[in-house]
Amino acid sequence: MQAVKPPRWTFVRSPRGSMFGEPGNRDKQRRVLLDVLTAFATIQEPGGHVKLAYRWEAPPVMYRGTGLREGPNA
Amino acid sequence: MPPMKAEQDWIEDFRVAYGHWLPEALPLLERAEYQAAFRFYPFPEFDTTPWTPVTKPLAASRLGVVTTASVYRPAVDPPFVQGPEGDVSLRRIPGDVTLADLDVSHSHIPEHVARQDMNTVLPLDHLRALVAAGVLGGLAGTHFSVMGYATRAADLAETVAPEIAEALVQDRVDLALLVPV
Repeated sequence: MQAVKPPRWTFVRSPRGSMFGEPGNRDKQRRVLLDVLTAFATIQEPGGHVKLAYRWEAPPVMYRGTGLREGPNA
Repeated sequence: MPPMKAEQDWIEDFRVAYGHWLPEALPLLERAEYQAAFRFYPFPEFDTTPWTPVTKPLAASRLGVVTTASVYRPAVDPPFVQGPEGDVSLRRIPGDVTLADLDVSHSHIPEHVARQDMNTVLPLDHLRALVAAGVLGGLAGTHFSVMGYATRAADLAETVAPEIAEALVQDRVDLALLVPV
């Protein structure tokens, strides 16, 4: 993200392609989204960011024969 | 902090570097050897961070979503092209769309997840509920979808990104939520 330099960003440790959480986990998706929307106001300077503590709560997501897991805590 | 626009001065150099990169990378891309191909990709470098201050409370703000999950409407629009250079085209997603009418065409992500629950990449069900609850002021009349795998970054910066930005401004959107996948 340091290279991309987005104005403000939120980090969540979801596997690629599942940014708001596990499919069907509506409560968690809503909480992730609320945290992201809250960050619009709380981030006050360019490049500011929030790292969310959510963990992936399902088996790895299968993709081309490989299980995708949550990302590192960047 | 005062507003600051995105840099443009990398684009010309990028186009030159891309012209050198592509012939060498193409055989690797066609064999899906992405790590090898992108090891020498001319990633743009930026000195500054674009910035627009948030001036309204969330409950008074109108929000538009830009997803990179290659979401599209199969009954209306073509899918994204799955070539070695990806696709730099744009799909418009009407604000009142039914999620069941959407699909994804992005061979670089596990598409079955989005097909199982589109809210994982375009959380319109939740956003609509937040508007109904008064937490969020409103939603854009149109949301936007691109393919996150698109190697022609200069084309994205010069054509698609300004088109999205202009449309969001015309739609009186206060907040743009970019969902990268």
